Amino acid sequence: MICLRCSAKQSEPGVDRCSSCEEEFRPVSGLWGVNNISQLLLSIESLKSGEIDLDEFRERFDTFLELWEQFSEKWGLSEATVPEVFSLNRALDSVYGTSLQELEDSIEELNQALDEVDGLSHVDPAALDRIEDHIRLFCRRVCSACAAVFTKLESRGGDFASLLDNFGT
Amino acid sequence: MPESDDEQKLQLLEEFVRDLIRDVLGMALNDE
Repeated sequence: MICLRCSAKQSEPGVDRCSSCEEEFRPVSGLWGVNNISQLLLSIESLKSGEIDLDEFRERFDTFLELWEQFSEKWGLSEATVPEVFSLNRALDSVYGTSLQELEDSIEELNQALDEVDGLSHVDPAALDRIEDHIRLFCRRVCSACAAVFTKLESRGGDFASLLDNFGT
Repeated sequence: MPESDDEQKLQLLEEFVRDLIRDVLGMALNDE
């Protein structure tokens, strides 16, 4: 996890303050622990309450966007969908295809959230509610798809039990 | 496709999923 306020990488998981700028990390309802997603949701809450302004809010989303763009560039997601990146044969696609499409659909949720943030010209509670919904759905769908992929990989002989604990499965 | 190519693709898929969870969501992976 990195601090979306100052971009400092946090060396320990589950910390309650940034090791660099001392920003407080608080869990948010419906999401376990603190991570980049909880920070995004908290920034929505903070903007609504007036704790931060729109510029600060944008900066936090921009920091997250940099992470996303690094990931997207590494995996070629600007030129291809998730199923296209892996182009699985028919046998593998029958096992993993649904999860890959779920990952693709989750990315669409994220893109919609980022588009909404881009279009914000003032603090618009309705737009912020939509952004929150997209971010929560993005996270939920990613976690669900990742847990499904790990479960299927485990059935081939891998040991992903501790990883699946990440998702409470 | 030979089985080794399948395994290679699945290793890539595992790396993709790990990157997504760790680097984008910012969640710690329990086995790292």
